[in-house]
Amino acid sequence: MDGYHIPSTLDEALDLLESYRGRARVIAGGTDLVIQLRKKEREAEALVDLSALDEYKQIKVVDGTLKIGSLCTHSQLAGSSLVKSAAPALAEAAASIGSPQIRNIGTIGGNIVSAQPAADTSIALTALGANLIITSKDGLRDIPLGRVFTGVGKTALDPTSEILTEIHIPLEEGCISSAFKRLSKRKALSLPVLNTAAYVHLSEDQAYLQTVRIAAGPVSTVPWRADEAETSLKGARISLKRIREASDLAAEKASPRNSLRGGAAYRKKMVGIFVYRALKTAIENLGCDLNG
Amino acid sequence: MKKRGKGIACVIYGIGNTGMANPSSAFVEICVDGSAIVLCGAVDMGQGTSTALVQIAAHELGLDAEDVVIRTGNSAVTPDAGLSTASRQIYISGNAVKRAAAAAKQVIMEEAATVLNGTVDDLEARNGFVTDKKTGAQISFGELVSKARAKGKLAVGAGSFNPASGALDEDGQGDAYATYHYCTQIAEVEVDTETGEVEVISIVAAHDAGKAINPQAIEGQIEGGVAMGLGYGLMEEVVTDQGYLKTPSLAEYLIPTSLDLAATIRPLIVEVIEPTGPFGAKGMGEPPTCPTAAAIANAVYDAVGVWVSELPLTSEKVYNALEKAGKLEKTDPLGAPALA
Repeated sequence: MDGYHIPSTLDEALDLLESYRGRARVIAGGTDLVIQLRKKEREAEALVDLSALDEYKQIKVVDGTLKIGSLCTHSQLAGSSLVKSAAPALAEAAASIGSPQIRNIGTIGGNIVSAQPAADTSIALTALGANLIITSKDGLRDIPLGRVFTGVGKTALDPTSEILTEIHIPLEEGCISSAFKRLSKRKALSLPVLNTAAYVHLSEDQAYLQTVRIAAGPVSTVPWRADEAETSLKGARISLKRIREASDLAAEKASPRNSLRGGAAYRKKMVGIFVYRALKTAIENLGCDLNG
Repeated sequence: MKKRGKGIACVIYGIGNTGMANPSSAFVEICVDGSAIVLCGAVDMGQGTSTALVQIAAHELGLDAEDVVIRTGNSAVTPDAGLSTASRQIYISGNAVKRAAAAAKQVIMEEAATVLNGTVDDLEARNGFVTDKKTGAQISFGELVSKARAKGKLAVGAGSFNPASGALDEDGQGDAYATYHYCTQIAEVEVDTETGEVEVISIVAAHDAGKAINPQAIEGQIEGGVAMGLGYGLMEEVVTDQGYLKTPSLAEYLIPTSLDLAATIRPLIVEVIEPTGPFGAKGMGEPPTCPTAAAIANAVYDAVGVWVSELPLTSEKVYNALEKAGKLEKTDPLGAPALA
């Protein structure tokens, strides 16, 4: 490796990326990258360490948007009262990653750009309808999270000129909440057999669902949206029956694969169970008693 | 829906190697300062044998444990004790150490009989002093070693022990062990009837290790063994695909973390004195791992009425068994009333 750089400004970091013409990689927490480098799954001539860029370690709400710096650690997200109240799915997802050591150093930006189909924060952010702010010398790009992932481990970011700097979660006015549910073989340090997140926006009288977003992984090569289930709940009167039907529809449309962590058939069934649980918790977070 | 159940499993575990000789040996020297050194090849890899062997030597000699040091596991220095396997070191090396200590002690007892004008039978060694029970006269170990040495005698002893393991006949039958560890564990689990997930609520583990030389270490062995047994029962799995190992590291081969051990583990020590053991002790290194998975599988059956006869009991296997038996139960039945 040619060099390890710790730029003190974002411009300096972008200069370094440009000078290495794509042969340098950005490192934040390094909890994925260091392993990949050791296994020679990724190569890097140099590493550009963003840890000195404190301005991207902040969480704030500005004009109805929850803005999260890409260098925020999972521990920071899991412990943030702002995230817990405005985007509980993200707080729960961050809390479920790895172990305390990994959560203390791993970042949300890193979790996103590693582009794993069941990255816990990516699943939560997909349901939350997040946008990514990507900075280059030409300025900022604001793109929906769903368009960033192009395959397992692949993103639309240009490694020669772009850095993910912020994650924006729109906070719709009214009754909104979200939840994250996860199935794994053990309670820490394990990748999910399945993870799901649901976002709900209820009518003012809390009787109807206005907007619903549902995400799950690993169901596809990228974080998966249960489009049909979402559509089926749009404008629906809230009931356990409707939620169950939508969850079953999500399971029906999901086509997960076999892997070491779980069989395809089992995962498909679990999509129904965990989507149901996520939807139910998200609605109950708003004080709705679904059991009538 | 979550359902609870309880399961029980018992194990008889042979102590020492199966149907063959497996001796151990030890040397003990009482030093001129009144302390003692034990040399024994038994390797302590964390299970606590060094401490227990010191306790055995100290008790046999009549010394405080802090006045006994032990050197183990160095074949340049320590005599052969065989392997730290088969839950055998306390039973077998414990006896070897006890015999070596008795031989070394004999030298100072004879010296004490001479010095105190008594007989060995009337003498008692305790806390580093030999006392004549008839007269109350007392002399320290250190002085006795010094006096014996002046006469050309050293307070050293060697001891060895080989368990009376019966040989096996050509059909592999026979009483293959000199003694056996007995244990029973009871598991309480909670099974999620929607997902097949199994949560262990508590494990009660009763173990007969003979005389408990070091009860705290035995409790540690039980808790550690149950933790490993829980991993064996619920998650540990070697997976291969066309001959290639798919679980080569601890990232894929999962063992329990502390969060997976939220279960209450309650160790119970049952002391049934083994006449051939050192002060009645037997072995107990491996047994705590053995019944846990079976107890969990039985508890799963008790909870949801399905047998899963292949370990580990992953949520997927339990789910498939529930599905096959028509016993999946969703938390909220369809048709629940709409929210008003």
